[in-house]
Amino acid sequence: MSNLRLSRFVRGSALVLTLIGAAYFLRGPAPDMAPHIQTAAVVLQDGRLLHVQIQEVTIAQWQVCFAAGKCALDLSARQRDSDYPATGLSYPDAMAYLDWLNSVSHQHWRLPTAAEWYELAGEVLPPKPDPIFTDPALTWASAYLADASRTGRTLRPSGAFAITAAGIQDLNGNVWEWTQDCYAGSNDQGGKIPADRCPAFIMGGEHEAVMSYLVRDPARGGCAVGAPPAHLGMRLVFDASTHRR
Amino acid sequence: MTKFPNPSQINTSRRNMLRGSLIASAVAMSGSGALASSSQPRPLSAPAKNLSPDPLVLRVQQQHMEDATPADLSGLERVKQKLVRPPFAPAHEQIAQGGPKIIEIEMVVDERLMVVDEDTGASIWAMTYNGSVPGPLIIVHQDDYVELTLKSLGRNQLEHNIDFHASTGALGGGALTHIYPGEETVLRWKATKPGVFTYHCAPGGAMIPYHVCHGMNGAVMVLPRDGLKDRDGAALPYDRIAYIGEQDYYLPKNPDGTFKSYANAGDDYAESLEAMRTLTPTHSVFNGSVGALTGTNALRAAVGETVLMIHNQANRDTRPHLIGGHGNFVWEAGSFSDAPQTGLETWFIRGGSAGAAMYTFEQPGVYAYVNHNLIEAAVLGATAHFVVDGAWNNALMEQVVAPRVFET
Repeated sequence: MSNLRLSRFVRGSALVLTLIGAAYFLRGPAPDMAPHIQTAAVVLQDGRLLHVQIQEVTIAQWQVCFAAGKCALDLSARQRDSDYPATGLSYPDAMAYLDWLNSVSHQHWRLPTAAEWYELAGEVLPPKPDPIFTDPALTWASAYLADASRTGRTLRPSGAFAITAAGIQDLNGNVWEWTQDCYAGSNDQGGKIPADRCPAFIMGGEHEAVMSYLVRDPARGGCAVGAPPAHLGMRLVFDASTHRR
Repeated sequence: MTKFPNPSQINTSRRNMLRGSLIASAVAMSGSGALASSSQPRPLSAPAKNLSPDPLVLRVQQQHMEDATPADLSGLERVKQKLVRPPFAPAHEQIAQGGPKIIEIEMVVDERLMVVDEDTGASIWAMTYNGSVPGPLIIVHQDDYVELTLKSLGRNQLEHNIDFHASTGALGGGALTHIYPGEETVLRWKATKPGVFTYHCAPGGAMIPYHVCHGMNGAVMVLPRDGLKDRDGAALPYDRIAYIGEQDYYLPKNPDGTFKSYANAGDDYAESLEAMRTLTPTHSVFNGSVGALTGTNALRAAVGETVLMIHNQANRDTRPHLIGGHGNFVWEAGSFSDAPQTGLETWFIRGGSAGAAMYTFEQPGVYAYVNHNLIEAAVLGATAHFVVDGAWNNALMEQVVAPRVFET
């Protein structure tokens, strides 16, 4: 788990527009089964219209999938008065939720690409810290995050962190979100590997990170250099063109 | 000749009430209201074996003390040592100037709620010397006297004391330092043996591991008067000290696997003992909490600097390893009377002891300092980081071929 540069992704103030109000509710064909998910519509720089979950998938939303027997992880022990993001999710966990949600809703949901994620989040992310080493021989250590605790590691209720102009919440904060992008590696192999064979995915979060697909809890320690993501969660999107009526 | 018991002996029997399974009633007696939040009676654990001798033995010991010749320390210089928070070391000289001194220190017992792991919200009512886990590092020279003023904050709930492994007699001072909230005591002991040594709270019975596993331990370094030496007698000076206390915690859990929280120090006693009986820690951390010595709080050094890493574990075996470096000179069991081992990869710190390892950094970058039971390092929390500045030396290591696809 190393924190890697994703400089090819566009940062800064992304061109985002909110269309048709800030949000609306979606209802699937089985209203008792599909959780209510608020989304905001965002026009990306390339002109595509993307519907983005305003918050990360919450524990309450996750538990509907668990109750349906389609998500293995039971988060009931972490349910509180206010809703929290569902965390402790591996990539297969995220896929299980995604598959289930698509089976019970009108939409064709998917994980965002890393490029989409960082475009959405650019305006609320902290500035990239200067590398602590500049010697090329120390590239392996230069991303060590000496000040990674900007938002702390304690989980906070959904909506506790920043909101973008488009109305998307908690893109910063201490939950890192799975993207669909396989980490390319130093030889750009990742782009050629099918998702079900990918060893590690790019995470969207306050600092750039790559996570083995199996990890639910990126525990701090061992050989890991720096501060790994605090918590792993997910946020789904769907393309305007895939809206099924 | 019969002597009447002095007031401290009368207190001894009262203090015994605080020990072992009687804690619940004792806390209630103290009027703290600690149990008010819990309506259910607390299950009493099996009485733990009391490691302290019975009052008769203590009385005889007291007589011996009263009969003893007073020590004449009138010629010794008194020096105050200001203790600092770990991982730092108090200001000190590596080679003693002048003759033996009386080193005056003060430690304040502070029971405080501490977060063990921010990620899960796990917390503990830690029992601390001076508010930190581990307690502060004390540094003196052989033949110096340590004169400790030990105070317990009035808001504390429990009885405390201190047992110095470096000292001689009276259970390491434990028998002479039992104090209640709002009390203070002064103990003086002579540092006869050079080395690094554990100190810890030892109030008696199961209260001993209960206090130690709530953070109440630390280390004393007794330097040889002429400083540290290698096996040939050559001087081994250091540029800085990294003082690392490894703490095993046994935190009670709810049926759903989340960690319990408590309103007051001592409220977790019965459930903590049950968790401790498993001998399986829920956390093993450096300096009190997960990540206490990483990120912003990472240890710092530079190429060419020599760091003395002092590792204290008052309860449980551990095996420090510096990933990417070595132990150039290692006093594994802590005694500076023995020649240091050299060039070690991993060294063993016995539970109930401190050890020291010296390393001079040769490469810049990030080093992980871990308990090399890697489960404990990566999952239970026993990891620290050194961030080291300097110029990279390709003669020591070089990436010859960056990762690439090989021909098939």
